[in-house]
Amino acid sequence: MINENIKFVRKKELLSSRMDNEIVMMHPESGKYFALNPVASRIWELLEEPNSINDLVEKLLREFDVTQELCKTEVTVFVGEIIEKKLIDKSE
Amino acid sequence: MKKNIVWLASYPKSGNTWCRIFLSNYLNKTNEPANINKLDIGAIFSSRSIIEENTGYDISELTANECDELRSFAFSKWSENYGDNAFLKTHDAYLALPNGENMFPVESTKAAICFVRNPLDVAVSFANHMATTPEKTVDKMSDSDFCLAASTKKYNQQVRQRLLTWSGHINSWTLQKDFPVLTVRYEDMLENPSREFLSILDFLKMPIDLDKLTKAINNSSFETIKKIEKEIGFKEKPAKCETFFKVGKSGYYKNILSEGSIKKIINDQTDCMKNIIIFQNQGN
Amino acid sequence: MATIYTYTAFGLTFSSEIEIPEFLPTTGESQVLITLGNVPENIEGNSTEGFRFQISKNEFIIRFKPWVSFYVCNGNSIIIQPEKDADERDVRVFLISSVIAILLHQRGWMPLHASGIKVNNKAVLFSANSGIGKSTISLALNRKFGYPLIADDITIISEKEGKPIVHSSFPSAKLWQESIDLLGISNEGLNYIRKDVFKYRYDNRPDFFNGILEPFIVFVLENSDNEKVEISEVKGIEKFNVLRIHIFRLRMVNELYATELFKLISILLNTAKCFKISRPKNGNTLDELCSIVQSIITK
Repeated sequence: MINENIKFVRKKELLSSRMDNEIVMMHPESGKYFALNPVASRIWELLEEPNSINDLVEKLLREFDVTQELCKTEVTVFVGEIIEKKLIDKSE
Repeated sequence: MKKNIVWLASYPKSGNTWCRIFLSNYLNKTNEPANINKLDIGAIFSSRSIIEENTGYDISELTANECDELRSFAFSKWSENYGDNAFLKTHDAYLALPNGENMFPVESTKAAICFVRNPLDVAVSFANHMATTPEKTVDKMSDSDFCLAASTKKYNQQVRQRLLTWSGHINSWTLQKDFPVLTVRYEDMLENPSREFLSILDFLKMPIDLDKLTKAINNSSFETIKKIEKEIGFKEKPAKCETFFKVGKSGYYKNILSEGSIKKIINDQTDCMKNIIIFQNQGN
Repeated sequence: MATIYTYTAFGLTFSSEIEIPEFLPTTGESQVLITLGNVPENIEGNSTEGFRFQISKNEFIIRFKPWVSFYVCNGNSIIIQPEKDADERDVRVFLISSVIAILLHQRGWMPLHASGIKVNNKAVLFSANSGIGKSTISLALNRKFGYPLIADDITIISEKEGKPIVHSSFPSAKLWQESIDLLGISNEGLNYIRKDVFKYRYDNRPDFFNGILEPFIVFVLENSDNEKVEISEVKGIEKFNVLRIHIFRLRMVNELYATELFKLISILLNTAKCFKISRPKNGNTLDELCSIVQSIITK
């Protein structure tokens, strides 16, 4: 389980580019691509600055019409995925 | 290097596609018949895109012989992405390159299954497939220079395939000593599909599940796939050919082939027909 | 002293010891030297091996047996080693496609597998795998509506001050007999691209535009099993995916230039619109295709 108060931030070396309202990213060393849907893209944008899961949920709730419970579940899943793919770091 | 390529080799119209549809149904997890246009069962050894993707070359800049030199490398690399069985359909005769090197990726090969059908029925079915006359087809079956996808006038999704004669084709596969080969007769598949498909699974040391076997045989029966073709079409059908799955029977040639054509086939292919005991069924 | 030929193609000036009649002659200082000489056995240091080629970030060796070998380095030099029976066309066909494409990769540019035309001073590109009809559609639009041609097989994308630019390639197309028939061109006097490869070399000098353009639209063509021509605008990530696979010789360079290509494809697609056209794999849909494209580019 990820601590909801630990702040995360994007890895610096990642290249990312916006295509309409979605984001595509690349890990320069592996050459691997990652694509994000619009909601994930918004989370990704927020992660330009250090944010915890709780921070993200709070901010997204202001923008999207979604229950807190669902929002938290989705954010947790997504953050878990991008940790696994080594796309974000814990913020020092 | 993985040793997982399983050749599904045959002269055209000899049960190869039937077996691929069977395997696809045997391996898929649902009870619904597999979509014949999305058969999740390996590839074809003449696929231009696989050769280009695995080598980086543009085949339209190469001669057919130069292209053959890429095939072993390309499909060996292709097979790395598969597990125990990387099925590769082919109508190519089992030939080496002109310089004596392998055209087939022997090092990556596990085994081959060679499908054989009475050449008299092949002639009828193949004539329908190529939208030509049985007489012309019979001549092609005796022509050792006969090739598929040999046109130099247009782009082709398949690369050229050298077939040899009908007999030459079968001998090239059944007499080679590079890897084990199981010969399966189309007529036996018709007569007792369970027995034949079971022997294929057994030969390949694939897990045997009798419920799946029954399901797969039903879902790949001639009536089922003919019906599916009528509903959604079959992308492997040549443009000029009306239906891919047309008759599927044994002995149908008697209604179609002229006496001259029958004589020519029996004369030209006699040894090979004897070897695989087709004459027994003809009452000759 | 051997003759030195100077040409312009792909936005570069080439100085060459072999004649390349497909390219446009020019004068001035060259950025790329094409010489005859010995191709090294191996690339020193780290490299990846493919079928009869070796590649590293700055070097490339390829051997088209038994005709010719090439060594490409630093985006500015090509050494050609022809074997004794090589026909000059056998040498050139590989030189002006794969070999130069790798040189362009080495320069950090993006060669795209696309043909193109000039529409209102902007570039309209047709990207596709071989055999789908890239060359044919560009030529058909040129003949019907007079749009100048900018490329047949490879179109170059590079960057200037953060903006994408398209460089024209050279005024020559490769056509199958089937395309010649469709376009109503006569094959009289046309040469084959190689001695034993029966695709024609078609010079389109009078209809060619040589220069730099801003990108406008990229059409990605594909074959389908459907019966009708279908067109849709591609948006978002799919845009990236459909175009990336059409980078020229991506399967040779793999990840070597991933960063450069990522940046170029991103800026290209942030400027240009992208449409996907599926056409039935059988039958003649060229006229229909031309009308659809014309209606989009004149909208």
